[in-house]
Amino acid sequence: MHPVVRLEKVSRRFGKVHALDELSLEVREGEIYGFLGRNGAGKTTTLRILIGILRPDSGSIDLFGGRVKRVTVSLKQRIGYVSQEPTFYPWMTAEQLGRFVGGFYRTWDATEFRRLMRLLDIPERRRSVELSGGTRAKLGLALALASRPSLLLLDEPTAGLDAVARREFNDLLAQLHRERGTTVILSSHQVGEVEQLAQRVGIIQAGRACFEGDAATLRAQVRKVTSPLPIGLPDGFEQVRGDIYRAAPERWDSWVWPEGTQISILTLEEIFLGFARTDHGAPGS
Amino acid sequence: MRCGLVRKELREHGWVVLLLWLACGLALLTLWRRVDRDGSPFVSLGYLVATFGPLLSLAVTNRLVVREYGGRTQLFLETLPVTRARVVATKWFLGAGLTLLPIVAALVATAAWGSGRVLLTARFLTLLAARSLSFVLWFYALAFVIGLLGRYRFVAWGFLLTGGIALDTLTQTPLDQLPPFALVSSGFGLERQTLPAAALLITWSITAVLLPCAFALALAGEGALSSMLARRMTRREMIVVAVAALVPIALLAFLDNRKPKPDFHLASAIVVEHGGQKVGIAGTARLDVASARALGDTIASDVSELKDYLGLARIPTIYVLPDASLDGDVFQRAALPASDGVVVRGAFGASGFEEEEFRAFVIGEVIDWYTRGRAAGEEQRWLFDGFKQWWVGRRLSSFEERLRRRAAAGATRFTPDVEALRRWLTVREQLGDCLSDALAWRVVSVLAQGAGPSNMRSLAREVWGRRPADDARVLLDPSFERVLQRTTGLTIPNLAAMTAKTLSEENTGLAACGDAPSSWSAGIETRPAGGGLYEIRYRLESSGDKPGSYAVRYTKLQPWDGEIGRSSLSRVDAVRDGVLPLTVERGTRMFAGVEVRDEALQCTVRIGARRWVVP
Repeated sequence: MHPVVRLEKVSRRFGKVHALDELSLEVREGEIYGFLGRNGAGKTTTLRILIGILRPDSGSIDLFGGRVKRVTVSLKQRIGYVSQEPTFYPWMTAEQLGRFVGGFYRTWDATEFRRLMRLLDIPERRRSVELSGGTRAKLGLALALASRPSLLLLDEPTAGLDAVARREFNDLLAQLHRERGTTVILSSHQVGEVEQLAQRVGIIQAGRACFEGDAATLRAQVRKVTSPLPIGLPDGFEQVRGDIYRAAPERWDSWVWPEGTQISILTLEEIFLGFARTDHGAPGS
Repeated sequence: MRCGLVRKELREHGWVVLLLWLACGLALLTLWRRVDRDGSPFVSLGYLVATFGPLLSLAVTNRLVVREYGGRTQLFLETLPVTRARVVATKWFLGAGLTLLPIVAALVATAAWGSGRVLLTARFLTLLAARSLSFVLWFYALAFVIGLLGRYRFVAWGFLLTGGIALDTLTQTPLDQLPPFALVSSGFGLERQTLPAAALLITWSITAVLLPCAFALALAGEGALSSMLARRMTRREMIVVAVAALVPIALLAFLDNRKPKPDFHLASAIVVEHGGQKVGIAGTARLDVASARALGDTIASDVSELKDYLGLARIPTIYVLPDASLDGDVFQRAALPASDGVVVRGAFGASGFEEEEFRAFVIGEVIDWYTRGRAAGEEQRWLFDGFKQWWVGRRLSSFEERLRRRAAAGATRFTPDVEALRRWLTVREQLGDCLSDALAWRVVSVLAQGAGPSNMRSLAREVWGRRPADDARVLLDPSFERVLQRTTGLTIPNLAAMTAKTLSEENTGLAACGDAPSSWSAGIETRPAGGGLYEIRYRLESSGDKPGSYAVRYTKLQPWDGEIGRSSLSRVDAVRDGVLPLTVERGTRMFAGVEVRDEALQCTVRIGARRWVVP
């Protein structure tokens, strides 16, 4: 599969704060890419660069197979974006928002928007200020999908939702992705939902990419080592944090550990926590 | 412009704009009714442009800019396929259109309505259109930029307003004569030929600068600046802004107060000069030219000598305005809000008018003017009151004798002890101006004798010879009692003792003369008048001859009232005991006293004066 998005050594500073520090990542066509990181790790900055709200200080961006200096309006026509806190016009109803947003997209499909509203159970004639947080998130998703984007950027869309609303939203996202095969970048610090939805995962910490690949590979690479004796860092192993090490899967099988040593396989959440706790600074967002 | 965005703006703000347009139309109709007074319907149009132009601009920019950025909905727009620049351009030009449209409509309507009343030419209409639209567009561009300042927009407006007032106040620059205001000033509806080219060019230039400023503000930092400015103020910011706003206002008021005022000038006055000091006497039927010149020369001589004695710098021309409506013993100094100097009034030729008293009054007012009123402070009030009498009386034995007799009379009722010297306003209130001034004269004459001429002069120069600072530096000045001791070697207790001894000796003489004031006594009493109100009764008693008539002076007081000026007191003339023509409620603060003219002393004596709270 061709990469839809490729960032190479992208950096962005806000004053003295390095929000992104030579971040590189690659998102392939048709996949849901789980973008994991703590608050302030740089996830939102990355997505805002991809939607053209911000520009990188350095590095290169490839979108839809072409190198871009900046994200133009014509490129934005192909990208759908759901922000963490949608700031819809409070006086507009969902229907009016659809008409308003539709005016900006050549590919806007009003029928699809109505279908999505029905599917997502969004009241058409209620003002956006009167909608619940979950419904607002769904409305954001409907608005983003009705333009039939090639790339969908979801910036922690379920932040602030309760467990039920989050599950509903994620189920709908999975269903819509199955129907359309749209490339999705799902930014989140909820490891569970990323593990459930994403084919590949990128972990970002303090503006730098720590890992990129599929979750199974990550789980095969990162393990916990508990030994009664002190152990040095074996060749080919990288200490993630404390007793959590990372190595190619074959190294784990071939290395001879001292007697009594226990090797534990970790969940994605435990691995994420291992990466997340390596740095204490959390600049930018 | 983006049609979708325009539709959104019209849907969101259309009703407000329509209401404003309606108000504008109603205002125009109302203004047309003034056409007979204004002379031209286009003068009325000028009023509309000058008022509704800014009003529309403020309302439209508030809706289009402040509401969008304040509600952070511009962040939603940023996620859509439209550039920030295009959003700002759409808002700017749409807003300009919404603001200018009613002005154009008003111009067209006025031209149609006024075509039968005034001659309309293409040049005249072009002039009107250029002036009105340029002005309104300028104000709109300014309001748009200031709207983008978000939470600091009120600060910016306040700054501009204060700056305008400062310019007007401090430089006397008429703002309405400067562009862009000159475009809608008084000549708006009447000027038919001359194109105000300079004013138009300046207005367009400012507008042309404001337009990129708006874009720069909206686009700076990828929209982060305007977004950050639109956030609500923190409490700390509010405090800083409030202080920052108050400081220039206070500074402006301070500078305005310190701005030198022109000297008072009365062109019709007869001006006499003596020793470099000028005195102007206004002409009046009661005072012929020769008498006026003589009076002016005497006062000029007094003041000129005083200048040398105290080492005073320039004193402006002193003006004396004869005023027959005053009582003979009443002298007044005019308050001059717009000019500087000493202007005094007195009833020359009236019964009871004493020239020596008037000269002493002028001396006092000159010192008061020079010291910016600080000479009349209570701590040194006895010196001020006594010195002016002493200055005139030191070469006039008849006046000095009169003062001596008055002082002795005053001393029978009020001993100038240490407490009295430190609280001289109480002495004045109890005895009235005449006796208290005489008593003060006695203290000063004792001081002059005890300290010697050189030390007396040193004291006077130290306390009045230097024009005090008109600001907080005056707090650094040493206390009067310290100056008194340093220059004369005398303390207040020394002086009080010396004065008491002198007065004791003179009282013996007074008893021999048989003067009467001490035989009079007055009573002021409050009595219930029904309905929770009280009346105030007065009576005058005498162990000897009772005066034929007398006056009762009274006033209601506020808690913070200090010295009660004689001119602020109401007066009731009486021949027998009676009731004041007012009723008061419980808790009212009052002052009242009886004033009797003592012909032997040539003095109005106050008796039985009291301050009280109605119980």
